[in-house]
Amino acid sequence: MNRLLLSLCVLLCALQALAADKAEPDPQELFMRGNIAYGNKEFSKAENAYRQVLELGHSAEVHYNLGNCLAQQNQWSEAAYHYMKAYSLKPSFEPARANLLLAAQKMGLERDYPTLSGPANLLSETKWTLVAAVSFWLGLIFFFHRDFVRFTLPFGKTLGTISTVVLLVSIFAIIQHQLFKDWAVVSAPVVSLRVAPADQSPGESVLIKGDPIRVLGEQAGFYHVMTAGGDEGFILQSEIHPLAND
Amino acid sequence: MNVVHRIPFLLACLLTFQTAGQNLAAEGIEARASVNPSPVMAGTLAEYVVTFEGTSRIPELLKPQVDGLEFSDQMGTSSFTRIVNGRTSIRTQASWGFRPTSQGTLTIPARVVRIDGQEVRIPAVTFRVIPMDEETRQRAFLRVDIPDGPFYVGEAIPIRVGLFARDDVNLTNIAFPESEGDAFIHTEFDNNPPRTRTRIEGRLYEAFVWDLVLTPIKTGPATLQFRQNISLQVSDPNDRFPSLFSLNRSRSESYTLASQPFETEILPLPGTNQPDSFQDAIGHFEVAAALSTRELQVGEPITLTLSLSGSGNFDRISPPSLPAWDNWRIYPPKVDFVPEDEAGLRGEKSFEYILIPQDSAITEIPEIRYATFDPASGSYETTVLEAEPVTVKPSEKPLQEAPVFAPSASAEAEKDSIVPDSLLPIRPDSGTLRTAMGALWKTVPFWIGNGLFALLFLGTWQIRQRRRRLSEDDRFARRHSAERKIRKALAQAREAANQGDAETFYESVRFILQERISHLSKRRVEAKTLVTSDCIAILQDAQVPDNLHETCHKLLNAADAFTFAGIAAHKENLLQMADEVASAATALNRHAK
Repeated sequence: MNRLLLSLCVLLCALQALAADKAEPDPQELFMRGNIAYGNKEFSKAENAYRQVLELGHSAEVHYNLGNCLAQQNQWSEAAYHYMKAYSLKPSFEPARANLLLAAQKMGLERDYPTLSGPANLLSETKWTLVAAVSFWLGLIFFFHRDFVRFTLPFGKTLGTISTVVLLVSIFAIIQHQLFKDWAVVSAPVVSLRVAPADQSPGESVLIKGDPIRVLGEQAGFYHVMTAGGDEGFILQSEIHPLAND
Repeated sequence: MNVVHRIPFLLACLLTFQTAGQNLAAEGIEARASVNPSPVMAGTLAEYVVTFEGTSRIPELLKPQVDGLEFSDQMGTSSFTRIVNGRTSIRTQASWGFRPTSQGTLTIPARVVRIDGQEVRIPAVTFRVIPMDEETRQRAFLRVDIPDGPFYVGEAIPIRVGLFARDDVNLTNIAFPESEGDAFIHTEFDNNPPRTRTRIEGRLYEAFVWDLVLTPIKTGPATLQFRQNISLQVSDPNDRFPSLFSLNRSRSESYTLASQPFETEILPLPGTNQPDSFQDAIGHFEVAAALSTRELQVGEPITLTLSLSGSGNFDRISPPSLPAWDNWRIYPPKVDFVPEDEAGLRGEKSFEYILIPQDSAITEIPEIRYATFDPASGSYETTVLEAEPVTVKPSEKPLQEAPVFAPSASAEAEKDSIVPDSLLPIRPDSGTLRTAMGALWKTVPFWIGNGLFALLFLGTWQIRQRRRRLSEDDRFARRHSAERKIRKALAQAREAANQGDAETFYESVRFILQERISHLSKRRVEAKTLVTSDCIAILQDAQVPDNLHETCHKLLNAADAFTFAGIAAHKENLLQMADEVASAATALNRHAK
């Protein structure tokens, strides 16, 4: 009997150790490791830690810190991509926008990089979506509440109109966010902007690493893109970092 | 032999002559070199031509390198073939344009090239570069106004570069002046310089003026000269038909204008007695400091703005480095410059520091020293900003220790900076990590949530509509209130039929039919008061189908027979009638709707 109990205990301990080995690392701990490495100016180590965090989840802060690591290693184009991601996730996150502009300035592209404007700059797309949903239902309730309850809400029509305006603004902001997500950053050193989606297609012009471009669509393994200057063409999918690529 | 047959023969002869000529020529290739025009006038464009006799091939020739001459990068080529009395002579030419940058006798040296395996010697050319004649010099000239020295390395010196073109001369093209000499750097030339008209020695000139800031970058003897390429439209003095058809024939001539060479000695900044607070500010400045508030709280940021106003090398001034004050956390400053002139020589440069007191024992902002160098006096001047008394209240919040993180209190400062001078610091918190990165409105839970809300909305609306109908539609309300009783009576009737309880059965049947038929009445009638004849009349009025009418009539008659004559049906008949009552009740209800 004692032997059996002992064997069970050993088996349980072994299973626990195995489970601990296979347990996923804690993203908060990884993030802190990255911060400590950054503070010690071990930027490559910090970059690895932040990349591991991104495998577990995304946030504006992680993308921003990773962008800083890359910028400290003079990888401005990829840094700009991560600042754009951070800015897209949290438009009110001013440091991300400021560092994005700095990265663009370092690459001499300060006029090419897009930024959000108007209502989209106030809230993230998720929050605007929630605002849109709430304002939609509130609008319905304010306008049609007499069909549900016996009493009349004061200023029902005014509040319904306000809800409708908020709904329209939300939709506009969501569209702005969607358009912002169409942007991408050229990741290859030199990229040929092809006139057709084919390897043998002649190049119309050349883009360099860090150039921001808008993705218009996909075709046969190529992205149909438009440059900040308005030139359209095709680029291999492996040659750019699309912002919406998650 | 006709003409057609002679053509191949003639072509063969020609080719034979050509080949023979080339072979003959290859045996004796000669080279000549010349400069056109000669002598060359300083500031004008000339041409160096190398001519090869006896070959159609031009060897690979590098641009000549001669001190005092600036050759163009592009080589011009031409080739001529002549056949005179059956003798073929071939001549090829290579040429470069050049501008002399010095005067006197110059020589383009000889060199040897290899053509078709043969070494050919290009002879040297010696020519004179003569000064620009007075007439040409008066047409256009370049003048640089530089203030008197001495000049110190790093100093900002305002200079004026002016291109003067005589009023009767038509300038067709001008390039930016270019400086010669590695001891200075200067600000960029404006694309649209101010144009003025001025009178010099009695002649009217059009002047293009650039105001620049010159900065010496190394010490010792230094020379500065500006050169500028221009093109002038010049009337041809040899034109034989100047007035014919009022055509004024003219030609374009290119010149390189040069300013008078400026020679000076660049002095180093005095090394002795250089104050520690000197941050490369050279000029005449006034230093001031401003504190956002004197009543502070531990952990709450304040701004300290140091400003330098006056004239000097604003673009090279580094932020004053504040000494390490005890109990203060100091962040790198935000730099701003407001120029008062286009060259940026005068203005005000400010450095806005964010300071966070760490201890309530602080009583003052310590003294700040800032040293500048005045080139006029050749000495350093140190401005001492006296210590500012402040009061610091203790904080209610614990202080954070995050040296590499952006303090939350400086968020406002970050907001103001559009493009920061350096990377803003990393964030200490990871924020809320999300696994899904897509738009919320593209997710299933979002639409499930909204769908549930929509169902709730519709359900509430349906209930409200039903209640409203019940209160407004009397027939509907009666039908609705009787519905449960009818269902109960139907169940009762079936059970009574099963048990053979005729009394209960017929009572239930009567109740069901009375209720259902009362709903068909156009008037409001009490169901219990309806007798069989009333029921039949209502059924007729309601125009129910004949079979339904007959069924109802039969059932009511059966109920009457039991009530008034005591004639009860058999159990099987009761069960059959129970089915008929159920279907009649359903049909009557459908008809009532």
